[in-house]
Amino acid sequence: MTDDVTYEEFVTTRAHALLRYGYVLTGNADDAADLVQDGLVRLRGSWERVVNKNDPEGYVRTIMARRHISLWRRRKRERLVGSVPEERYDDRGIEQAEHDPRLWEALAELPPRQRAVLVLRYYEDLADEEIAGILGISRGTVRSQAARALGKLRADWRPAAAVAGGGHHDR
Amino acid sequence: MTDDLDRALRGTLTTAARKAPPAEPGLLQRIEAGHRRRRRRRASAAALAAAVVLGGTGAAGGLMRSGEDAPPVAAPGKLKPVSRAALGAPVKVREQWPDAVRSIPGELPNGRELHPVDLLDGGTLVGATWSSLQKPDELWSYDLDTQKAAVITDIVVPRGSKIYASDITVGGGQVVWWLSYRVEGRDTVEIWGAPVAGGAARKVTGMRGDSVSTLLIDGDTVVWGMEDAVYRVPLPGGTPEEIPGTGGFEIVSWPWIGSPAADGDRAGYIRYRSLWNVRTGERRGAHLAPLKGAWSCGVIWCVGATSRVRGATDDRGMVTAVQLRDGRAGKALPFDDPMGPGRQIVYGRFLPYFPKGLRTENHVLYDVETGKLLDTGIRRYNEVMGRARNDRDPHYFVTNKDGTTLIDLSKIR
Repeated sequence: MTDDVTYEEFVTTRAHALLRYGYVLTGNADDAADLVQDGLVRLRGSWERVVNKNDPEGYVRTIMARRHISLWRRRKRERLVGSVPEERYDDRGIEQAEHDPRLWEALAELPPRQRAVLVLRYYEDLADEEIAGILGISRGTVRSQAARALGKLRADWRPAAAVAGGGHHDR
Repeated sequence: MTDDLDRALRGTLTTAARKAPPAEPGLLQRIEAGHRRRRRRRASAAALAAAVVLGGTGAAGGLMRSGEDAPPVAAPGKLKPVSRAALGAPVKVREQWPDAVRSIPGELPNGRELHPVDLLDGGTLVGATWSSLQKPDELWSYDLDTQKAAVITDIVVPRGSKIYASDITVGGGQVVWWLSYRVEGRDTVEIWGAPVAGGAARKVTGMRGDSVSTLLIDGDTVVWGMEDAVYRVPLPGGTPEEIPGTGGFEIVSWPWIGSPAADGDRAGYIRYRSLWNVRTGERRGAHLAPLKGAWSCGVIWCVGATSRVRGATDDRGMVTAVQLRDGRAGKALPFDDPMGPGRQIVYGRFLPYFPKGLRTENHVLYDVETGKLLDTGIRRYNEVMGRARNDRDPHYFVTNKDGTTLIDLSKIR
């Protein structure tokens, strides 16, 4: 008997969570699937080593963040803004109330590194020091990238409350 | 304002994440294909300085997307002969991986013989005592550090018993086993369970049939294989449910099941040729080198042996073969097998091997991944190591005249 997770179990149980992460990093489903697959291929090659350190998920998420930045650079593909879920939100949880489709669109305009910094800070809830470690950049760079990104977003952004009263958009 | 933006970002990202696509079927297969390509690319990069040019075709895009990602197997590779000299002297497991082999007491403190079931994390040995041959009457937990033992439960023996408590398995804080009996000409299989912490045994479920091939606990579900299919029931109990599509399959290494399940010795026969992952839906075939004998596959590796020609008086021309399911890395080892067909690879990686045939003194394993022989240091009498019913369990108990020894195969790195 052992509680050691196998590679296949890891993929099976964590694939969807990784896709969610890939989706907010890249902004679209196809790139998210590619990024996850790429990260898992690399994890597959290092599984024995990584699983012994008990953090395969951290490993693959780090790879995904870094690959997102470098792949984007290499592909230089032009791409339309990822579409935003537009259905009516019935769930009135706090995140739903705070959801802002225009902000999601604005995120797509950011360079990948800036976007990655915001995703790690606001989606993964990581401290700047951890973000620096994951992206392999200095803490100062994390801060400057975040400040630049927030500055761009803020330029066009108005709090949803000012637009749609209650904060979520019933159509 | 920044606070509002912070909050809006959190909310927007969290909500958007929920719209992420689900994992597509075949993901594991595509990863394997990508992994193999990547490994090949690395290998060629190491060999050729010019490999950088080749890499340009696919470093980023090549890994992606499905479609062309089916394993690129044309024909299975040939079996590469390995000489006795090339096998080399066995590596001593006890010296190389001291944690991998451990002596286990064969008796409880009260002197009763204990038949081991599992060694749990924290050093608690779970085992059964027998009232007579192969007839377990009590389950025990035995803390090897404090030397204290306690009864887990009494095993109920129904009227008309045919097969006594078998395949005792621990998981999720429970211990389960199966038994069968015949009453008024009708065979019934029952699965029973009890908390490992101790308590009364309870019937989990029952169905028609006379034996179970494999029994295991998967989270909060009990899964077992019967002659016809694979079944499941919630651990707390309930009505058995046949897992759809598992007809003709047997559990190989859960959640992998394989077909055909029967052991055969016809040339070219492949036991578990078709493999199916019940959880992910992934399927794998087997494409193996021609062999004048039968193969038996696990999830990744297969083992085969040439059948003895009738009237033959020696082993000339006979081999023990190992090969990856996809037809790569095939090797023909010196024939070693005094036991006939039905060999299997244990824990997905180790083939019980007899470098000196019947005169082999210790339990020796051939590591299919490294190509090395491993000497467990455990004296062999006439017992042979075989594959566990569910090949996921790394713990292997050898009980013989010298006592009980546990091999933890996961400790062999």
